[in-house]
Amino acid sequence: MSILDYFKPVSTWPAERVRQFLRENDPDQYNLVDVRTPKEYEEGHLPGARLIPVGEMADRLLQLDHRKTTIVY
Amino acid sequence: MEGGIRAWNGLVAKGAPESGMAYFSSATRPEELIALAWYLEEGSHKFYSGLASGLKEGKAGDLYRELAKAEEGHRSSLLRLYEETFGPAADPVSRDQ
Repeated sequence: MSILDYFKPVSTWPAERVRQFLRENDPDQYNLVDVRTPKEYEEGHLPGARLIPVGEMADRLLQLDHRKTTIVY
Repeated sequence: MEGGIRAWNGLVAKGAPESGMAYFSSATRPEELIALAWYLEEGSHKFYSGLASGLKEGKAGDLYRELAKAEEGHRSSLLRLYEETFGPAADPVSRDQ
């Protein structure tokens, strides 16, 4: 898998499916990423989500383990 | 996730991304790490005690009280480790501070 795979179309999950996935999987097995601003993140974010604002994504992409399922919101 | 966080309808966490991380990164010496571990156990004790306080009777309350007691044991072990390694510790910080 290359970095270009991150630009392929991705599937969209409803919130309930995300909730079930998070419940059934260990945090070490996925990336949960908040792409909003730091202020929005601080006001409330999904527990366990890491912040990578969308404008920084290109520079910080390699911080994510591409072998894991990545959920963004 | 479709709909973003507005579609979540569940519990959310608050705070900056670095919340807590600065606390960890500032502890580098062994005695600081033991003290930090003590504070983590103290936090856990408060957490379980808080849960237990709302459950006077029943198995859930008993479980949380047991867990809180276990955290007291962990704190004692860490305090003993600290004092055996570095000498007498300062007076424990009160819970209100």
